[in-house]
Amino acid sequence: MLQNAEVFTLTYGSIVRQLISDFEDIEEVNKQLEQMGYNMGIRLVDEFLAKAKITRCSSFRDTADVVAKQALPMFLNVSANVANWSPDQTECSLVLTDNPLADFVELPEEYRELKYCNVLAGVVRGALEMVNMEVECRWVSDMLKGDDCYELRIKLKEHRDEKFPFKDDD
Amino acid sequence: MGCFNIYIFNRQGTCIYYHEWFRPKSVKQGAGTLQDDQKQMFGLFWTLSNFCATMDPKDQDKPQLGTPRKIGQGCKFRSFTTNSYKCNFLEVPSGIKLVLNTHREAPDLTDVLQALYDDIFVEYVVKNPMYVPGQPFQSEQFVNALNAFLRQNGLLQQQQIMQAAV
Repeated sequence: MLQNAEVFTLTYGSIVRQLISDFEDIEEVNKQLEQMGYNMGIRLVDEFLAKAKITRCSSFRDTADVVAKQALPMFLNVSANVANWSPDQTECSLVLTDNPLADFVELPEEYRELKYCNVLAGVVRGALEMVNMEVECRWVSDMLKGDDCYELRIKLKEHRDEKFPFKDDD
Repeated sequence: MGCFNIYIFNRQGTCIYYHEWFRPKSVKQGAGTLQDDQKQMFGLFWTLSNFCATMDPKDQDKPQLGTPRKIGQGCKFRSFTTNSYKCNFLEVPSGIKLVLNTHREAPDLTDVLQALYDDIFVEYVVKNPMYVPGQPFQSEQFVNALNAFLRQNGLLQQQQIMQAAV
């Protein structure tokens, strides 16, 4: 188990390294990481639903709890807390105290703008989009930059209804 | 006896997988083309799911007939039986819908459909790097696993296995 986790961490590290040398622009790398995460998230959600046997995810509040307490432990072996709910219940933070993606990482000065764990933001966005919740995810705290935890802020933009995809007059 | 056909739809209504084992009355006598047949099937389940959600006697805050459903509510519609077949249905929160038409005497197949999703669809389709979500897929491993699973559950008769192998 430990060996698997290390391979994963090191693989992720070399992906980020390669992206930086391919794109050179840090903002572009952040976007690519998020896009990769999005592509992963849209597939990961089916696997999660199969393993966790969830059949209902009714409100954004419940969903955030499920992501923090079931999905993250299942895939990354870390648990997270949900905190800082906004008054209208549409924004919350996922707080992680340790992050296996960034295990052996030190961020040098010239890469200050790099969001190293941006792939996670993309995964959450992609997965929630498949259950009709459009969200925006961004990192507000990053331990690699000296903060004391990793905090991902999730903002619900729209909880869409089921829409009949075909036109009625066909 | 046995299974007649299976459809797998995604949220956008695209039929991403269709297979038939036993369909003596051809599609042309029914809906016309296979595509129309799939569209009608999707529409049927859409309406029945909405209808079941509205008619639920145990639900405190059930929606009015005609209001659009929120995806997270889960799907209350499971199956219907007619004179010639039984239609079994499962919808998962990510929008994937499985429809399995079987013979009339089939027992409640909710667990079978759930296991089909968990062990076969997720294993052989979602985890397949060539699968593009939203597009119809072809996967021999999936077909083999599907046939083996249905045979195990006693839903595939001997002559159908011969046809399936062809």
